[in-house]
Amino acid sequence: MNYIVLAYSIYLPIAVALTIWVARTLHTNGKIFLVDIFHGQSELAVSVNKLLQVGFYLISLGFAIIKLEITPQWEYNSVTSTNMLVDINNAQSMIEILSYKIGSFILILGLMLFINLFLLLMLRSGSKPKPVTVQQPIVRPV
Amino acid sequence: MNYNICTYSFYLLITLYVVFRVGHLLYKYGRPFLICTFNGNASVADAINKVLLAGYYLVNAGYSITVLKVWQTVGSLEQMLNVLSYKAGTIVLTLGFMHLFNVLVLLRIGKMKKTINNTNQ
Repeated sequence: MNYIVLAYSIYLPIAVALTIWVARTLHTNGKIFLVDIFHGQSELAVSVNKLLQVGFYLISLGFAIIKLEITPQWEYNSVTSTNMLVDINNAQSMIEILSYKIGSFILILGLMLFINLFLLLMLRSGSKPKPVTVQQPIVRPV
Repeated sequence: MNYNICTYSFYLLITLYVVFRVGHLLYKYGRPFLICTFNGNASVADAINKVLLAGYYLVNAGYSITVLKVWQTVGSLEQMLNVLSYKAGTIVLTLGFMHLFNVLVLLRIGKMKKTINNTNQ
């Protein structure tokens, strides 16, 4: 087994586990929020929450699988002052490439989580009943 | 195991510990503020707080893992300490500035809410 296959088999379980964790967090905490948004209609809130979760899973897992491929990278070599292809043939280069891949995936997951949160917050402020302002009749002193 | 891998493991240990510790502190002491922001609605504030904590972990841990790569080869213990202190210090400094910025924004929001409430009354 070479280092690239080893890197794939480390990357995929971590990506899947992180996606599941984030989706669960959003699912459990989004429910309270959605019930608040839909004014206590908990059936609707639960189904919307489930749909959101399925969408989150599909997007994150799809992205993680698309970004799986590891190719040798061009890197500047200061000794020969040329760009050279760096092969992944030792543990150090594997750790470096793997950290970049996993880190960028985690950053994108964080971005997705905040997008979800802002969507929920926007929905919440949009669903609030607007305060009805009753114009008081002006009483003029006679 | 060469010095580079050693440096990486120490770096990850230090930064992830700091990130998790700071996140826990913010989670604990940010709760009353969120409850105040959501006008005493504690369940919604708790939910938001948990999602914010997860987002904080993802962004900070993700960033510190992404910038793991040390560009120079580490040859000795002294060099390792130098590189390690610089890299871990950068992460901790960034965290500190982000935290101060967050506190300033939250204070500004609190002030804005207060003035809006005052003008409405």
